[in-house]
Amino acid sequence: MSRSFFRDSRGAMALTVSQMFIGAVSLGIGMFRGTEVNAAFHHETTLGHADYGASKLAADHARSANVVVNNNVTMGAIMGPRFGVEADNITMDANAAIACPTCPYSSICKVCIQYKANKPRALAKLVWVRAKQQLLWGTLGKLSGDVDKLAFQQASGLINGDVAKADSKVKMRFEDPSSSGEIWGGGNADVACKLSMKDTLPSPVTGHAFPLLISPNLLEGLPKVLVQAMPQMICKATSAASAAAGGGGGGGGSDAPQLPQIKAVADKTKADCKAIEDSMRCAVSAASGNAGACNDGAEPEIAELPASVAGGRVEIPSKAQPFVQCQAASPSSPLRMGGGGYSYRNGAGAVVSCTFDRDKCEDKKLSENSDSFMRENLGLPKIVSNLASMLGGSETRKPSQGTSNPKNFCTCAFSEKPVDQTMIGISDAVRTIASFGASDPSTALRKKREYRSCGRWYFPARSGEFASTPEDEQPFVAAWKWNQTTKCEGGQ
Amino acid sequence: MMKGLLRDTRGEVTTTTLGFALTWFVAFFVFLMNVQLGQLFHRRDVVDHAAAIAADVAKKTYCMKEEDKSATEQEAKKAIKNVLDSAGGNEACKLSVNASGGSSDPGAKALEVKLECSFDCKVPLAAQFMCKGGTSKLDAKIETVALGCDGKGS
Repeated sequence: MSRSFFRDSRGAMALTVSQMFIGAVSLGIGMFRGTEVNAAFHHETTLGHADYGASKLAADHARSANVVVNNNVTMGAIMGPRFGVEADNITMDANAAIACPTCPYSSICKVCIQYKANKPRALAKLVWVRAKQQLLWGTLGKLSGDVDKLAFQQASGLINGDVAKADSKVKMRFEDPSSSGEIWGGGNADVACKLSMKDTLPSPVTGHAFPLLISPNLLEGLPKVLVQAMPQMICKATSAASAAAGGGGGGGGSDAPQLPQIKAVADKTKADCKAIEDSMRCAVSAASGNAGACNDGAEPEIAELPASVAGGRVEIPSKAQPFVQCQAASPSSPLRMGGGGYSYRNGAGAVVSCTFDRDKCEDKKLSENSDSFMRENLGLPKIVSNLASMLGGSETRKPSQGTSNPKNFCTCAFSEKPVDQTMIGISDAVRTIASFGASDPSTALRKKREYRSCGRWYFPARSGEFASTPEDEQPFVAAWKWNQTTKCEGGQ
Repeated sequence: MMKGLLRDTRGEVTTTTLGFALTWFVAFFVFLMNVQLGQLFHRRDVVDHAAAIAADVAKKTYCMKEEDKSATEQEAKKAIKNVLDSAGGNEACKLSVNASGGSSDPGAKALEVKLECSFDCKVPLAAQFMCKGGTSKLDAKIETVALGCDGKGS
């Protein structure tokens, strides 16, 4: 056969056939390369759709975060006037409580007359500011809870529309935290009120009623003390929250207001402390073997315990224990006489004196009694169990998971598109030719491929000008940003 | 067979056969070069595509890894492994991610993603003509910007 092939005058046919085969393979290589390029292009464009979706969602969530911040700030801002007006009204009531019993003969009776004339004006302002504050907290607080869900619904609709316009074969889906609940669900009214207090203290709002409505103010300084105490009184701010918010801006120290000028408060304070001191005196008498001999009219004295009372052990009543101070006398620290008490000799022979600290007792009791007086006699808001209800139906918001970078502040977009059928056909044909028919159709090109891109929104707490913002104040600073990421923490 | 071939008075077979042999050799050599060229183009595409994927991953990962260069490179290498496998293997390539400066935004970091590959050319004859030293060196460099470096990572 080969002989006839070579001798064949038509030998050119063999050349042509082999050249055609080589040409076909070359062409196939070129086309196969085309399918590879198409696959890469498919990857990058489809991922690009997911990137677009994730970046839009994350950007809109970041914008929503800043909307929540603005709501928080506005809600806090209205709290300032409320603090000022509340404090002025309480101070006016307290002035009246001092001045009115002295009428008509004393010189301060005019304060009572001014009070009666101007209280309705102050009260109207109080009613107005309370109503405004509650309305604002109710509406903005609700908006803060819903804004992310609304943002997601709007953004996902726009993304689907935009992608469909660019390529109708692309399917998009989203995994967004706002679809499963409020991501700004935590309450932080305590921080809002603390910040508001710090803003209000140096402003003219504090004590504005004096001398406008009453002059002179018999309780100079009380409006400021009351404004300082308002976060605890109205917003149930804890001491931990106060410490976190810092003591700057006029805050810090003990915020409990004291009203020693009001006779009823002062008298009750003295009586309370005397009763406590008397209970201690009775305990000392009992330990000395003179039970019942604790005349409460006697001057305070330090009774020396007999040696039979081992270690000076006296059963002091629990209410008196916080005010008893024991001290071993020495040349460098002589005994201090603050109130009555007892003394004994310790094992080393030194005299140990345990005395009742009347100043400490009166300071503490004055705060307690002043608070009781304001709540019971001056209409200060009572401690409430449902703070949100009391403040208007909602609170200022913080991330449900806390921190500046909550794990659920992350959203993902997924895009999917089948590879073009022509490309799959070319690829299969080339594979079939190259393998002389042994190859199966490509499964890789037919495989369903979904591309993921994610985005998160965060507070720039790691570096930059906002890095020093305390964590609990971050929901009050409109600096929230977003960035893209490959996956959300905890995701696959 | 050769005697018969030379005694052939018609002469057509001899001419045609010589022509066939010469032309076929040239055509086959061109074919081999074509195969090598196709492979080089494929690798060029793969390197470009892998660099694009690596840049995308680096952009999304660098800040989340709190600017850890090697952790970012690991993530990017993981993402491009399958692509590079189709062109001669991951070990033939070296990926580097380098910060190339800051920006007015404190959270933005400019990155330079560089993928340097060196593949062996294995097509006979064509490799000697088309690849210097029997290897083809293909590089891709992409500049991108990572955002979010001022936030705490995960």
